[in-house]
Amino acid sequence: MDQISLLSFLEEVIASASDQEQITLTIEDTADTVSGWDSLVTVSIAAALTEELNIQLTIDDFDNLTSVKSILEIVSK
Amino acid sequence: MTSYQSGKLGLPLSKILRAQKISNSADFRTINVKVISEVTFEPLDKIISFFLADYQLLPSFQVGGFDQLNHQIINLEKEEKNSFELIYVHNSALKVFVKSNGMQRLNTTDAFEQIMNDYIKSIKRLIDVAGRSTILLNLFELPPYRIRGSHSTRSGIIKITQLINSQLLSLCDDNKNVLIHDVNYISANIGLTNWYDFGSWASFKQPFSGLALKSFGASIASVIASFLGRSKKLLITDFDNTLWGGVIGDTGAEGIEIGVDSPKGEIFSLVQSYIYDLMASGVIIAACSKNEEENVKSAFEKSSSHLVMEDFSSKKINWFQKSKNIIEIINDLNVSKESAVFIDDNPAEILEVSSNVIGCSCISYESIAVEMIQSIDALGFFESQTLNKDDINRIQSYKENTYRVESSHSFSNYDDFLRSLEMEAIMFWNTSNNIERLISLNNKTNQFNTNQLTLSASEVVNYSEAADKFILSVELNDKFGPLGVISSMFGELIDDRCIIANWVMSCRVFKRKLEQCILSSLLEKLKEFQINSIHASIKYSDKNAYCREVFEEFGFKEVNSSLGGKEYYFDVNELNLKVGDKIGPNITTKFS
Repeated sequence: MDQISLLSFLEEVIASASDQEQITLTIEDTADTVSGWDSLVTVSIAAALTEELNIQLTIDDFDNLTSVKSILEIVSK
Repeated sequence: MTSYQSGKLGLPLSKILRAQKISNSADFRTINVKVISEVTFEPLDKIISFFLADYQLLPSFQVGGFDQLNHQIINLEKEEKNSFELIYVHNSALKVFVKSNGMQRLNTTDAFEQIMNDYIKSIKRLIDVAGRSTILLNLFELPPYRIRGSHSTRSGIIKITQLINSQLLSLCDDNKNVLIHDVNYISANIGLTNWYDFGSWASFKQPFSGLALKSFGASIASVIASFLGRSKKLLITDFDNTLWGGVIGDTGAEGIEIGVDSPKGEIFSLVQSYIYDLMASGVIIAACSKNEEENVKSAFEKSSSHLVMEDFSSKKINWFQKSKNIIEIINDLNVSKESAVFIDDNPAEILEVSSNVIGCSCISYESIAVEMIQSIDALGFFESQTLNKDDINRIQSYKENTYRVESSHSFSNYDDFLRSLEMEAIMFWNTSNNIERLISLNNKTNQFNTNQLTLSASEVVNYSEAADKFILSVELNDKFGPLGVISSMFGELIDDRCIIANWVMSCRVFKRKLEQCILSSLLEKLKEFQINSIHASIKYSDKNAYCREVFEEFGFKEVNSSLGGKEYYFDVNELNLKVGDKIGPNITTKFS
C-alpha cells in the first residue's frame, strides 16, 4: 500500500472510530497530534489492518500503531 | 467476493466503520442498550450499528467501565434498571482463560471453573435486578487452546465451557427476559484460529480479530433485530441454478440436476432442504423465476425435489422484470420490503432487484450454491429467539391467504366475501397462558401497532395479573382454518377510565373489519368494571400508517394532535352494545 492510500485508509478508520465527519492526516501525524485518536481508535486501526489488508501484526507492532509513519513502516514490511 | 454475493459481510471493515455513520436515519427505531463490558467493546459498537441499519434500527450504547460486572450490577440495583430496553454483557472465554492462568496456587482448569462459576452467580444476580430490561448474554466460545488435548473435553476447560454454556441456556429457558447470542457457533464457523487476536488482547483487552468482529457484529445485530421483531420473514427464490442445477427451459425437467444422483444435484438438494427447514420454522417462501409455469411444475414433481409447488405462498413465474414481480409478492403477502430476502444465481438479477426494491436483501453465490445458505446464516436474517406453535402455523395461514384472496375475486360485494369467510373471533381477557406469542405479536408487529410499546415477559405477566391492567387478546378462525392469536391490546383501568397502552394486529387479518369487532368487545367488557371513558393514542412510526385512523373510524374523538401522533377519547356510555353485535360485520364473537 502506498503512502497516499494508507493516509486515506487511516483517515477513514480514525474519523469513523472517533465519530468525526472527516479528518486530514499527514505523514508526521501521531495519536498526540490528531484529535480523537485515543486507544479505542487504535483498536479499530489494528482490527482494520488485519482484516482488510491481511497484515499479521507482531506484538511489537501493536505498540507502534500510534503514528502514521510507524504504521506505514508496518504496512510496508 | 462482492457484497451482493455474501451480503454486507463482504465489505471491508473500514467501510463498515464508515458506513454506520452515513446510514443513521431519523426514521429508524432507536434502542437503548446498556453494555456491561468484561472485555473492550469498541469497535463492536460501530459494527453492530452498521448491521442494525439493515433492520432500520439505531442503537444507543451506554458502555460501562471495563471489567466491572459486579459494580455495574450494583449500579443497576440502585438506580438505572429501567432506563434500558436491553442490557448486554460482553465477554470472552479468552479473558477467563488468561485470568485463570494468573491465579496463584490453582491449576488453570480449577481456576477456570471457579471464574466461570462466579460469572454465572453474577449473571443470576443481574437477572434479579434487571427490572423491565431484557438481558442479552453470549454463550462462551471455546478457549484458545487446550491443556490436555482431547481429555479436556472430558474433564478440562472444554468440558467446563460446555457446562457453563448449558447453564446459560438454562437461565434463558427459565427467564423470559434473557436472550442468548450463540458466540460458540459463530466462532466455530470462522475457526478459533481466526477468532482470537492475541496481540489485540494483550494491547487493548479486545480479544477478537477483525474478521471475528464483523461476524460477531452481524450476528448480534440479528439477535437484537429478532428481539425487536425486525427479523426477515420472507425468502423469495429464483429456480434455475438456484434450486436446481441447469436451465429447465433448455433441458426439460429430466435434464436438471437435483438429488443425490450427481454432485451438483446433491448441492442443490442441500439448498432445497435448507429452504424447506426455514419454511417449517415459520419463514414464508415465495418464488420469482423467469420461466414458463408449466415447465417448472414438472421440476417440483420429481421425487428428488424437497420442495413442491404448494410450498410457495406466492409465485411469480413469468418474463417480467424481477423487481416488479418481487414488489407484487411483497404486496400480496402484506409484508415489508425490509423483511424480504431474495436469492438468485444471476448477479445481474441481484443488481436489478437490489436497485429497484430498496430494503430487500439480495444474496447470490460465486462458485457453489451452498454459499447462499452460509451468507443467510452468517447474517442471521431469520434469527429467532423463540419458536412457538403460532410461528409455524403462520405459514399455513399465509398459504390459506392466497385461497382467501382468490376467493375474494368471486364476490362483487366485499361484505359478501367477509360473510363467506365464516369468521369466528375468540376474545381472551387477561389470559396469560400464551405469553410468548403475546410478546412476539406485540414486539414484532409493525403495520398495526398503535404506540410501538415494546414489552418484556415480566411486563406482559404484570399486565395480565395486576388489578388495574388488562390484556385483550384475540384468536381468529375462518372456513379456511385457524389463524391463531392475531391481535393483542394492553391497557390500564384507572378509576372509571380505560387507557389503551398498545394495540397490535397481525397483517394477515387486515381489511376484515376486525378492528371494530375488537373495540366493541372491549366496550362490552369495560362495562363490567364501570368504566366510563376510553383514552387511546396513536404514535406515528414510518410503518404504522395502516392503523392511524382506527380510533376515529370507530367514533373516538380526537383530543390532541401533533406531528408525532394523536390522542383520542371515547365515551363508553354513548354506545349500547352486546358482545357479538355486528359493529364488526360478519364475525361471530365470544369471550373464552
